[in-house]
Amino acid sequence: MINDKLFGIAMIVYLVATLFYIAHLVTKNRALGLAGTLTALGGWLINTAAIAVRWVETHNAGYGYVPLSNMYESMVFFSWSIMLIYLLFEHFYGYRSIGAFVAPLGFLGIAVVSLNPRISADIQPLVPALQSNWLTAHVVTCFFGYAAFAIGFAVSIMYLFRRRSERRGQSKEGGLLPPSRVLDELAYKAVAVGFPLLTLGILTGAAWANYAWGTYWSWDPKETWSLITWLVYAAYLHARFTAGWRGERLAWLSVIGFGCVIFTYWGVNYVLSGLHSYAG
Amino acid sequence: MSKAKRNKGPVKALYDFLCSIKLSIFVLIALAATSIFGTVIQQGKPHGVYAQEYGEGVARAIEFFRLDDMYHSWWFQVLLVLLLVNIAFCSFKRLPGAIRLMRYKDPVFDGKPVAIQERCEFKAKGVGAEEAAERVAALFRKKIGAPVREDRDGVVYLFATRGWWSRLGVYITHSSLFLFAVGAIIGAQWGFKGFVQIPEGESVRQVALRSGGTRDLGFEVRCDKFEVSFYTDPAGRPTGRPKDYVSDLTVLENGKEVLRKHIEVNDPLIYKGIYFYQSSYGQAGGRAAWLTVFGPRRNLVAHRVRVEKGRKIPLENGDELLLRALAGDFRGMGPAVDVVVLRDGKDVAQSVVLQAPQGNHRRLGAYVVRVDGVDSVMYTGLQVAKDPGVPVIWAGCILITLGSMVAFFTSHRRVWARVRPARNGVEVFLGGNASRNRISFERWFEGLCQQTREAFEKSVTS
Ligand code: HEM
Repeated sequence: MINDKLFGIAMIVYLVATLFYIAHLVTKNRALGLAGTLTALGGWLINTAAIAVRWVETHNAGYGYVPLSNMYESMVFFSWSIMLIYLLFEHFYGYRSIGAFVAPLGFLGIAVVSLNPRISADIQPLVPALQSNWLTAHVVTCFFGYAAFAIGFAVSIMYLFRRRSERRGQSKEGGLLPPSRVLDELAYKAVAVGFPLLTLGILTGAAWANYAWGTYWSWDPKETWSLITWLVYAAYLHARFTAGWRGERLAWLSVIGFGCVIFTYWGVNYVLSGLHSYAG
Repeated sequence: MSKAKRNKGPVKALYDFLCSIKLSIFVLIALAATSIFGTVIQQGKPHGVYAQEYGEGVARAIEFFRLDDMYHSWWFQVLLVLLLVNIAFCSFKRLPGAIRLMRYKDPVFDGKPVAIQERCEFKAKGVGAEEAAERVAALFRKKIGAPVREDRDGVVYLFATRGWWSRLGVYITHSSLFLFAVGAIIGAQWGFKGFVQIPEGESVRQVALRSGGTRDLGFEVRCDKFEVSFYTDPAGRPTGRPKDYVSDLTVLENGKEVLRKHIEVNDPLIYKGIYFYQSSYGQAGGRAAWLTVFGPRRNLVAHRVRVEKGRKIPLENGDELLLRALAGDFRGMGPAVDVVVLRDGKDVAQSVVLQAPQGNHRRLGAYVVRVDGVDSVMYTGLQVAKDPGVPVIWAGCILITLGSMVAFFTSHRRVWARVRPARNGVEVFLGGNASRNRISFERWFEGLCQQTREAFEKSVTS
């Protein structure tokens, strides 16, 4: 199949973009930053093409479905969403140094599933339960939300580093990373974009469950973990805009929130199912 | 401070506690943290399962704290109620202030407690206060909305505002949480969830409830046909992977057909607010079999005769063959029948005979029986649900979506201007504030200042 080769190329291009961004971060050289942006954009276009090709290939295989149905397809879509939202962020806010922390996430998304022999890249027909347009709406909204949270996470990590060096006596301006005030604001922006998307993701999931099984909410582990994630980010936002929290406490909350995202996505499948499998 | 706290009455203290955002954050985090238990500990299992997995003591503790059904436990519900009470109190406390801000239109800001977040000032020569005020007002009209004006001792004050409704976003969002609660209560009170298996050709009136017991539907549902379809590969060969489960259902009221529907996974039957979802299927046994029987002299006694379940066919010398039972799939070995040879009404030989590849015969006393085919029946398994709370839940979904969009991505902007006569001209002051998104407001305000300065072109001196 052609699609997985294309995903492989996108992965390598993302790695190159990461290197450019890191070089830009260290040297402050504008040309390197521009190279980072252009490679990231190139990688994203290849990623887009790969998804489109895979879509066509599902039709050629006789199954014809939107390629968002299994771990492989969702992870490459996760990378795609991270890079898309990051490039929009870069366009609107113009801080290229963030790329050094986000582009590696885009790279990792594809790398984790391409290089793991236990995750199949094969095109498999959908079981009847997954044949629904709600699935597409649900996955797209959830992953856009996750992608925004990934950026919030990357920026919060940068914030924590920056604060540490500021506490060690570095000046508030200058230095490798943007000033902590800016990072704090950008992390909040990312979370504020992600939260409504996650809300929509949970709602479309509930709508689908209601349509397919007659229960919009059944407290299964995946649902519950998405709610946990939602509650943590709701706490984050309220802490910020009503209780006036800023800074490190909030940055840690964003890191914890992203931990919940990852657990909802991977942990529920691999850790909790393992917990329950021997008893069942 | 601590003294003031101590002097508050207990009612006021309780009120402040219920209004506090600290309580909201605490409850949000507490809900998130405790919810984890329910995903790690299996829910709704009998005592033995917990005892085996964790030991007797821990199992007792799990049951004591209701962690075996925690999302319905009293303490989890208390947290949920606390959340709603907290929001209700907060809204009650803040809404009047928010309304005041929405309706605010006082142009005179000097000496008033308005928080001016952004400001700019300049002087312009060669213009009178009236004309300058007109220019600023025209710009406000273009960029924000019609300004309110007030003159005081020759000083002109202007005020313009946009997006007052943005402040409603929070209340819309929060009210959706009440709709979720109401919808869930309606569903629990007046809805039900059940399950039913209907063999092809048969109909049912009762469904087994998940909470135990049965429920009469008030009408009948008949399954006319059930089918599994399989994916084919590009060459058109079946792959054995199920593509769809399909049932043809008919609704009967007093024996009369009122509705027919072809249902499949993700496409339920809906009748009188009750939903029937395709959820499983299986073998419901058989109706009839085609049998071939040879007599004691290898003579053909019956050839491909259709025998219905429970019926007999005559053999030689008054012997009979009874088809006692049949299955479409007997212990995973395929179709099979259970047949008996009767002599003078008594069993003389009995056997289960598989429909097997050609030539597989089975001896029954003096006879040999072969199964040529089985006319088996499938049953369709349907999830049955009625939830009159769902429309309320959807209303909540719409409100939470709209409300959060409004709350996060719009803001209430207010802009003031003061035009004061000065030597040879005027002093212009612009100030503004926004309820949210201060960074983009900052940029927008800078643009406004820029354009105001440009409106005075060459006359700007500083
Ligand atoms: C989509 C979700 C939500 C959004 C967009 C949202 C938005 C907001 C906003 C903007 C405020 C600030 C109000 C102000 O400063 O005047 C606020 C306050 C508050 N929120 Fe939320 N909220 C959401 C969900 C929740 C949830 C789930 C809770 C439950 C605990 C909650 C509880 C509160 C409370 C108690 C306040 C303070 C009281 C008030 O200002 O009315 N919110 N919320």
